[in-house]
Amino acid sequence: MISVSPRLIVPLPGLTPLLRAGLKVDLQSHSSASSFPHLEAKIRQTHSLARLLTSYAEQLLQEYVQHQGEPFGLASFSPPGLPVPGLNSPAPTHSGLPTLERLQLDAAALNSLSPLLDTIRHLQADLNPFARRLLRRLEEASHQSRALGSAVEVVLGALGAAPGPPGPNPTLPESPGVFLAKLLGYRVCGLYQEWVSCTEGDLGQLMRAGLG
Amino acid sequence: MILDKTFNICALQFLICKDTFQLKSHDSLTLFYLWNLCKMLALWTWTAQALFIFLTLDSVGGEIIKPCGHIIPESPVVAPNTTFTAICVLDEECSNGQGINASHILWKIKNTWVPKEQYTIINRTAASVTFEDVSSLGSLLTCNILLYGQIEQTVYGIQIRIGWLPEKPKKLSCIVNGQSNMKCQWDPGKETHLDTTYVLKSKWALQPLPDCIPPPGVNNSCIVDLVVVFVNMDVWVVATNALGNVSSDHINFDPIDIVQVLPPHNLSVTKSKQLSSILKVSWTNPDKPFEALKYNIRYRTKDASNWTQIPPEDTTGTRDSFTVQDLKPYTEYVFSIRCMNIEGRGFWSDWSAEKSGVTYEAKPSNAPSFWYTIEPSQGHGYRLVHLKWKTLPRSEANGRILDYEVTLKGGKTSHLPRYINDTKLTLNITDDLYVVSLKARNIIGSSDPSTLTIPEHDFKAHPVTNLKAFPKDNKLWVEWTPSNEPVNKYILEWCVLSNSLPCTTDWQEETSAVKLTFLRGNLKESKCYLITVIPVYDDGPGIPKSVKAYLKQAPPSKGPFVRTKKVGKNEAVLVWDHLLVDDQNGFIRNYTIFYRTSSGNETAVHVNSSHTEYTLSPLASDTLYMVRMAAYTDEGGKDGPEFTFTTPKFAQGEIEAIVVPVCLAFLLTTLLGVLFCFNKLDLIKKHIWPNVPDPSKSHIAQWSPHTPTRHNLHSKDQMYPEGNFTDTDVSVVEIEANEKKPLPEDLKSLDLFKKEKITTEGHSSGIGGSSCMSSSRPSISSNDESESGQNTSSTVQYSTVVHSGYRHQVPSVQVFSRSESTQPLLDSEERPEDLQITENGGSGDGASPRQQYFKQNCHQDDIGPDLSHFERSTQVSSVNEEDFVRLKHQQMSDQRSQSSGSRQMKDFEDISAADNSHAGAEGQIQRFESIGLEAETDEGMPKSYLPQTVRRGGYVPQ
Repeated sequence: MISVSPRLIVPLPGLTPLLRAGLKVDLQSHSSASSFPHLEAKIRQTHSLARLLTSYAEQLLQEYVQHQGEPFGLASFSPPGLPVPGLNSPAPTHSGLPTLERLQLDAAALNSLSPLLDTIRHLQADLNPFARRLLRRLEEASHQSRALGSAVEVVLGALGAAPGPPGPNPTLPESPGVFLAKLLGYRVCGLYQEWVSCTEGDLGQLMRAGLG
Repeated sequence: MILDKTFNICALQFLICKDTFQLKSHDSLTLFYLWNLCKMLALWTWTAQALFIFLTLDSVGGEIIKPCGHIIPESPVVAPNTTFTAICVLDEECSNGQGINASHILWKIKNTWVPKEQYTIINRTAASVTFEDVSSLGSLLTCNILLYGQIEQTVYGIQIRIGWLPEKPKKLSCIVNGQSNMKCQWDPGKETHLDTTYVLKSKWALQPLPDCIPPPGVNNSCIVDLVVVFVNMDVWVVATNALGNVSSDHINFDPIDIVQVLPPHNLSVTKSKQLSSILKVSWTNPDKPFEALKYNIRYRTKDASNWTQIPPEDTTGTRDSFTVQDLKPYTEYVFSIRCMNIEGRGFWSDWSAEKSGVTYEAKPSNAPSFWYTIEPSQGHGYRLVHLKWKTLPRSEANGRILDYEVTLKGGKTSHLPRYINDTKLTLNITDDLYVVSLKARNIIGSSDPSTLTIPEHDFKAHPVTNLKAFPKDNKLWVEWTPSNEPVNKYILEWCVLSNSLPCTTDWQEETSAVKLTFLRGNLKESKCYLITVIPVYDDGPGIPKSVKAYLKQAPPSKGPFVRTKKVGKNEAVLVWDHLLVDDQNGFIRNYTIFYRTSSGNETAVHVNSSHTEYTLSPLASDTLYMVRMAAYTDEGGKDGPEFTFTTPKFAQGEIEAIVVPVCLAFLLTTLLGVLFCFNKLDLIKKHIWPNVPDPSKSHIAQWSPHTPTRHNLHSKDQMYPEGNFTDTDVSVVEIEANEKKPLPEDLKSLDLFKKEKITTEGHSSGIGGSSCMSSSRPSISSNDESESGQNTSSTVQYSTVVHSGYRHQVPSVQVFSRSESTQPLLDSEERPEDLQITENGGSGDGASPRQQYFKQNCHQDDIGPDLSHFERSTQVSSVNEEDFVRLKHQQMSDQRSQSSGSRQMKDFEDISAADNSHAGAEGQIQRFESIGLEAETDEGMPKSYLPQTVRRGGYVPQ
């Protein structure tokens, strides 16, 4: 066990590619030139987190389906697109948006997913009280979603962009039926996977642009 | 609020009560009961107060009755070495009603008044007290007022708690176990003596995270349940108690940098049938967070303890299997793996659980060790050969050995290979030379052959030289110098030498290049090993050479039993036996003999181990010695039992050296005395044994007309018909003697003397030695009488016994023996019947031999009546030398006188004369005395010595 100090990051080529990509970097927020490598490291770090959470989200969805019984998990199962008020899947036009805007949407969605995942965990705790790993994954996913949203906001802040307006708090039916609860959970887990994957892509694009 | 104050008052009462009863802190049980009582009292007091409050509301103001004052602060917590001030505020109403003010306030700690110098009157109702050092404030601090009449009344009291502000937590560090569990540790610093809480706080850049609170009793670590990697977080510790809170330094890190990933799991090991030197290890990687890992793979054989590690550069990059090469066939290997982030971030995981696998088989890589023993020729040209070999070690067998192939070549017949499952084979072969080869076979193939030459029975070859064995590093090493001949291999045999167990041989084989090796067996300490080295040549084995050695020596288990072989006056020869080899436990280097007297110091003597005898000297004579003996190996010694012996007072022969000279001196003195006596015989005789005149030579005898002729002796019957003394004149002196009376001393002495003479009596020839009856005439005479008798011519007083006492001793009975015979006494001598009759009158055993003796003698007379008296005398001759000589002389003379009887008398007279001049008087007197006494004592009645001229019973006065 060692005492941890702030990690020294090997300086990356600089922010010039980012600037070339048209990003408006808030240079005022970085008091010295040493902050630029730190920004790139932050982007890389957040991208790693997004990538990690993407894999976790896939595992979560699989785990969730396993514990819901049929028809969940069947190849022919095609759940209805149950809407979650206040949170939608990434729009098809999402990739066309500017990077910072996409990141703002990502951060807002991730922050919204955290309480949704908590709700789903509570629902699953009633439905599958012995599915400890699923419950644990849901708990971790909520925490990780919040972490990723926060990390994206940090990147946005480092890039001089505002976090973006907070969206409406997504709400779920207070006492859904069992199947509806399962469908809601399935939907939320799907949304979680979609948004972390989207965030990974956006950060990857940002990183590629910066490293390019 | 009211309840709190009531309880506070109760606590105050409790403390006062405790002080009153002088209770100590360790009276916990009492305090507990007191505290419970106080709580009950507090409850009752509160109830009573409440009741009082509700029942006795102030009619004017309607307010609740309050205490007469209070102290600020209420429950102070102060740090040592700080200034503390307490203020006692009196209630206005109480102050006004009782007429007291702040000047009446007195402070008290426990039972001690606080000096007034520390008081400060703030206003009319408030006064403070200040303490520069609060270390003494561990007890109750009370505010009191002094009422009229010096009545002390406690207004309020507070309990001050003293403690420290927490130190700033230091050395904060964290580690992430697996994916989401993070443990942080810190140093809380010194004890605060107050209730202190530690909280681990954390946050992301923009979001706070839930606090981590250590479980109860833990103040230096906390485990954060949910940790997200790839996002930096701030972590710090806040310590809080009543005196404040202190925060540690913040640490900021990405948890991914402190992750210790979980080790790989589900290890499996598979072998390849194509290659016996490889094993493939497979595993399952831990879950995220790392996508790229690097590994450490280590392995070892099952029995080994050291690990071999795969080069790290070969295991960089995430993978789930690895093929390990260059392994030994048919060998079990154990594998273990760990991993970490490929970039080196975080920590290596723990080693995974071990998993083992066995490589596939290969043909044996070595030939078995091969040796034989041979029994002497059984006759008829055959001999028994016991082949033996060792199983191959697993590392050389390379698989499970199925059997052994033994091939024999030589002799006059061909031999087919034999396949043996055992490790020995006995062959009956001729005395010819044979070559035997051995192969070990497994499922893959056969080993190279191991070949032995069994030479002809009279084969001899050079042995090894300079053979020695020594222990080192807990092994028994053997070293030798090879001979000049080329050697194929060496055979080492060894066994344990024991007195109780047979020497069971173990053996091992060494290559020809080996000159130093150790015995690969289960050797034991303190055992004597007989190690034999045999060089094996092309033509056969060389002469064995042996040496003894110990793996580790120890002191002997028994000491030698020493004993004495010979003990002298000043030395002792000690002997002992060598210890049994089972008891030696090592090489006996030397012995030490300890000996001491019961009071003296112990002396030690060192003796070479080859000896079994030692002479202790010098020793003191007539002294008890205790001796024991110790035998020593290189590791120590052991005493034997103690042996005790005593030296004699005299040396051997010393007594003889003293006694023999003394005896010799005594004998010499005696001899000289005897010689002297012989030289002075006449003188002695004159004084001791005066000459007794020989009656036969008396003149009376010559002229007495009644003297019978000597040669005209009659037979017994003729001489004493019917037992009457008709032809003999004997004067009898009646000696009155009570046979019950003891003899006088001088007679006793004579009696003793007589007894001595009894033995010689029968052999004595008596006076003149002419007759068997010559000694039968006893006579006891006094010296004076005898002296006078010598000169008597007319009337011979033959003998007179006068008990006048010897040397002034008075005899009890006077005995007289007188002879007034006008005939020679020899007449009566010639008649043994005299004595026979006399003795027949007595009884007793002593008479019988004498009678027999006389009878024999007389019988001879009967047989040979023609024999002269001299001849008869020879038959009863004494062993007395003089008599013997004399009798011899007589016999010779008798023989000469056979033809001439006339000469007999002359010869007799000559001999008698010689006796007179020589020992005749002596012998005669002795015989007479003895017989006379015998007559007295044996017959039990006085004997009568009859004068030849007097009838029996008569008496002729002189």
